[in-house]
Amino acid sequence: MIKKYFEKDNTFTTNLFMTLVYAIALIEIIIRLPNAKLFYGSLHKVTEIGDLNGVNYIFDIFHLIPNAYIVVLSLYIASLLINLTNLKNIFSKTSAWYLCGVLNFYNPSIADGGSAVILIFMFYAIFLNDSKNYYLKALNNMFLLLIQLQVCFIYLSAGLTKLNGQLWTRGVATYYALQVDQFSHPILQQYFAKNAFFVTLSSLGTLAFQLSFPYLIWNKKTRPYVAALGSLIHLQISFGMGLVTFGLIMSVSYFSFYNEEEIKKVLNRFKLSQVSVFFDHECINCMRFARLMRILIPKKSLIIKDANKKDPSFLETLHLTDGQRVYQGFSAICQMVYRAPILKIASPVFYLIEKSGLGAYFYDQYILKSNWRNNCREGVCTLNYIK
Amino acid sequence: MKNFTIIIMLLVGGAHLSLQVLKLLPTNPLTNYYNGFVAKYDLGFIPQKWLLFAPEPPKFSHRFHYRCGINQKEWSYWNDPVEENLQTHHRNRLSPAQYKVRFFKDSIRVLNNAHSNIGKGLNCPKTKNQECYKESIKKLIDTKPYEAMAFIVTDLCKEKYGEGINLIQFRSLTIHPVSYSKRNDPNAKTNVNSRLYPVTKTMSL
Repeated sequence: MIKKYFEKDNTFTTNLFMTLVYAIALIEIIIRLPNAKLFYGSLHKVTEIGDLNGVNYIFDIFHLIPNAYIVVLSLYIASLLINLTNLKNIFSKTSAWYLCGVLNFYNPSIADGGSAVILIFMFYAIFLNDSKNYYLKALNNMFLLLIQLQVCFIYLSAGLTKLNGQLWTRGVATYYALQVDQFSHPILQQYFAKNAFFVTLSSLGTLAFQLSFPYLIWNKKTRPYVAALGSLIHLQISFGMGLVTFGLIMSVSYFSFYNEEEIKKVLNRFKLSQVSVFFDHECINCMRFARLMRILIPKKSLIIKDANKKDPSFLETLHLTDGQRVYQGFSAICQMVYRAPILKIASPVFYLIEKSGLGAYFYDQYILKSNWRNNCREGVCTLNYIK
Repeated sequence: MKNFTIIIMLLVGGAHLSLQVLKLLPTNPLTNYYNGFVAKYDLGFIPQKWLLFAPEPPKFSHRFHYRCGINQKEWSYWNDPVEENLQTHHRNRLSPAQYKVRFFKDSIRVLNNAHSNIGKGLNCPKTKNQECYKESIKKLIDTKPYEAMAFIVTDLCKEKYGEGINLIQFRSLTIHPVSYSKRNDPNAKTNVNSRLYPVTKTMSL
């Protein structure tokens, strides 16, 4: 089994993973660029530099070459750009990792957990490759495994530390986190921070998630749920708390657990293939919803058809087909959400609700049994308001 | 040969992972036995520390105000360099302002910590003591964090009021939010502790 693992072709996963890591690093440095002079321009203006543990002094080049920040930044950005293409090689990857370390070491005040994770992944990425050579392929697979285990350690150590503290276990940590203006947002402070239900659920939920992640991510059945929930938490950290790179890099780390087939399957789910959706043209509310979908979804992705003309059984519930599969009820709504550009950001939420079965339950309880359409017999419904 | 390669890789990978686990474990009765070689192995390439991703949320946050003067005769109002950037950060999560907020807040945090450490070294009492304050400030102004902070404020003053400025002063604000149990109490107020740093000449490289 071990031999088989090392012989496996994981180049699609490692290439995708590397591209995403270098892309996030590029976004991070581009956001810092307008204030580069303030952050890196003079050693005299930085209150704290990194720890000089181990051989960390190799990152301390600004002491040797003051005012080198323009050269360092230019080389770093060039390395990242090369690493985003097929031209990437061991030198460009080593250079990106080293210069990332230099910048983090020089001004740790502006670095966060995301910067540290990027540096760790960049170090491992040096050894990732897409060679067909047996030994290099084995090396690629071993470092992919190290990345996966490092992600698990991140969660495990974070969860265990939280368990040792007081605020997380008492379920009030989110309240205090949201009181720090830098890691919060006025809307969150006003509507969520004081809500006991939200504060307790988010604090204990985060704790439970972090402690269970290292086990559940290895199980093929639980992996999609863990990844979807983790992405939700981290996107909230990115855009709710404002730790953009940390949230993004942790979300990206989940890609290391998926093989080519699984990733393509997930991507295909969000592909804009054309679908036909069947609405009951006699149902006013259904047609209002159809018109809304017409506005939100490009014409090339959605065709609206009359369910009455297709099949009487299509009147019982919402039906959608992509030519190969037929989706019903809440799954049909999800398929439309995935195709609406403006609703793309909500896709993970809908995916999670659909997969958990909650969506189908609520659809049955509140839409199918609603007053809009009842007295259905053999697929034909009498609408209440035109009785 | 292939089997040998796999065994070597497993040994190297396993050793690396074992050392990572030992590094990340909280302090325990065996820590003293392995800490030495784990620290030597930790070359700084894998900068994940035990507390990096799991801090207890801070129960306070820092800000600072600064003012700029000309020959002790004319002083500006106290300015808050964080607020404007913070609002931009709240409006746009991808704006460069987020790093400026972090930079300013962390700079004053480091300075406050340096000042507190000097106070501890001098055995200063926790209650306000003028003698101790003077003594600690005297030591603080020779430190790297104070020099860096003075440089930062000099730049802010010159940017806002021009090159004629020759004096600067800043004060730190440590903001303690209302505790969770009192969050709905209308009389509960945010507690702010201020620390005034001395008037200093503008810095130049």
